[in-house]
Amino acid sequence: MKAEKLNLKLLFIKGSRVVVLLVLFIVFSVFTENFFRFDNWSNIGNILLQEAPFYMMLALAMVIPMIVGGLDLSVGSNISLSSFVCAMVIRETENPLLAIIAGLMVGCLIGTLNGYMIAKIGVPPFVATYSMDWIAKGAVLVISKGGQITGFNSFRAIFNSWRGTYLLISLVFMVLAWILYTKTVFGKRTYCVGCNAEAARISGMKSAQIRILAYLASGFVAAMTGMMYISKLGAAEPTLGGAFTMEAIAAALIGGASFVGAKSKISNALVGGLIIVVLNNGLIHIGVPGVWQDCAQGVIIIAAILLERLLEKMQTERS
Amino acid sequence: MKKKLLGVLLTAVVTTSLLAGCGSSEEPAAPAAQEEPENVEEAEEETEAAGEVAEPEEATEEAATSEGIDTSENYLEGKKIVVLLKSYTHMFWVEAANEAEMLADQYGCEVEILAPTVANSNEEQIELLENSLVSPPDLYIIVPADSQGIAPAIAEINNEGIPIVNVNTQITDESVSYDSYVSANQYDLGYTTVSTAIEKLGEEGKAIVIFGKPGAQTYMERDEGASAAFAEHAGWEVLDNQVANGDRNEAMTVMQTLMTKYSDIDLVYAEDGEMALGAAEAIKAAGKEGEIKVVGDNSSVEICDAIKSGALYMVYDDAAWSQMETGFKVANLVLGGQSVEDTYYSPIYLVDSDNVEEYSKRYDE
Repeated sequence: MKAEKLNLKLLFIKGSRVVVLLVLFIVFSVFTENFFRFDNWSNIGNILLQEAPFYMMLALAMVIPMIVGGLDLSVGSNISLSSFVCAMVIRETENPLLAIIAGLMVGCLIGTLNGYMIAKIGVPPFVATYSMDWIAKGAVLVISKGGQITGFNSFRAIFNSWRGTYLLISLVFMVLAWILYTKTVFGKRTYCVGCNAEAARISGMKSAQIRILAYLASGFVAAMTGMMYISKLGAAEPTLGGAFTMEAIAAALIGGASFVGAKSKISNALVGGLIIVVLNNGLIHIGVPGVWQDCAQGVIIIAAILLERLLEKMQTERS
Repeated sequence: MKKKLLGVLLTAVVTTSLLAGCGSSEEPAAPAAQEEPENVEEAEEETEAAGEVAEPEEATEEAATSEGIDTSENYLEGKKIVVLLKSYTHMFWVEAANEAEMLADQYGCEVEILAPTVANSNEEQIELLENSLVSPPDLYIIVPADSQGIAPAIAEINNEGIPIVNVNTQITDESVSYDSYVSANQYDLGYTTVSTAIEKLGEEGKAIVIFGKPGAQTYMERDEGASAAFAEHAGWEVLDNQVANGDRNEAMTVMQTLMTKYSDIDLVYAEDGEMALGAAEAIKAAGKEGEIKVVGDNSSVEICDAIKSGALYMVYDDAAWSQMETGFKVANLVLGGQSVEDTYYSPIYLVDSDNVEEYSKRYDE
């Protein structure tokens, strides 16, 4: 009986971010007319199908390098460059599949270079990915000449023919990442490297290779996110992605991820992405004036984190 | 416990600052407070006329406009002009750069175009201007990213005695000087766009305003103009005014949410073209194209295409090319030693289904 109680408490502590998400959901549902009604699911559909998938993917691209004790400041520019390359290939070849492959390759290349600089040369993750951010930003500026690419309807049809495609893609990525990093030997090794890369190397693990693969995975997710974005917007532009890196970090942290290696989980990306989206959406529904929203977001996030820590403390003291 | 609390607070602060920093805009921004339109009725009449003809016509006029500038003499020939822009990544500034090069050919002068690699970077703009003083030009045309922050570089140019024509965003630091200021009247732009839309749609309706970026003077003036226009029509209710930071993606997300909040929307006024396109895309995705009219400010190839397809109802263009053209005319006067006004307002142009074919031809050139 006592063991069961402890397990419940542990579950409660572990799921405290979900509690925050639920509290936000309930507050917005109670105090607004159309955020959620049993007879009107349009806003929930909007959140789940049109908004959350993007934030979940952004957070995922950030959480994976955080597992190995790093971060990726080039997520936004990776999205910008890979999506623009994808759009260019569509414009030139009208072959959506080729375009997707090209875009994903660009994303993987950026991720691999990040990983190589960090794991093999020893450049700190902040410096390596910040430099890569500049390189990718510059590259997209050069190839775009400041212009946009629009149209590509055949490409958009792949993503937009069914309303749930974005959610499906993001969930598939989440599940695959979760399996990879929690259910496989590779995943366990990745956490070992995140915990102590040197100790992992001495115990025979290919520490550098594992870190490179983490950044490669991040680049891959970022590129996919970029393709989802240009499909949603109907335009590839060099300005896309300007704020995404910060949004990705914010979503990951709010979801419970940590810059300390091996402390982050894939589920942090899922919950963090959802919290950000519910917050953005709910503030509009509750009628917070546009100019006050940044401020309101900040206050709510601080309150949410404090509430969560308070719950944790209460549970720990009782146990 | 203290360490833990500190950790919590640090995480919260970092997260908050990250979110506060989210969103960016490369929209032309920040002319300081301008005069309100002197004759609104006249402006509206001209607006209406502009919609009826194929040739783009000016919608509004101010006391000092580009039309009144004497261009009979060319004082720019053989001179060197440095044009400083806010970025190379926004179509508005790409268009301005192209126009400057074309005008340089026309006037027979040499033009050097500078722009920061990071859009709207004040520090980089200062650096670019300081470097340009190594081989000083005869005149500067300057679009500052920051009305006040650019002052150190302007002071250096003032010390060298090189004339400056300030375009688009006004330099507001009083410790430095420039010869003349050229821009579209942003208040008038917001006012005219909304007034024209209401004239076309009737005296009753429900509207959404998508605001550009809090703190950016351009958007604030457009917003004031739009609010004044809505206030003049009691039958129109502004349901909501939400921020999208001049970003197409944010505007799309905001519009998606607003459509779930309000079931009955007639008009969306987006304070720039990028946001108008984002809102239009959200409406299209919701299958409400044509039902909700989207109007905005600025024009581009894509905006013209959207008007042709019916995704956008109409826009008013504060025309980068027009501002640059007026800037060169004023520069010509300055280098010719002629007297110049403190402020010149460049024209704004209505683009709608009636004249979009004609208007979009300029992008083919």
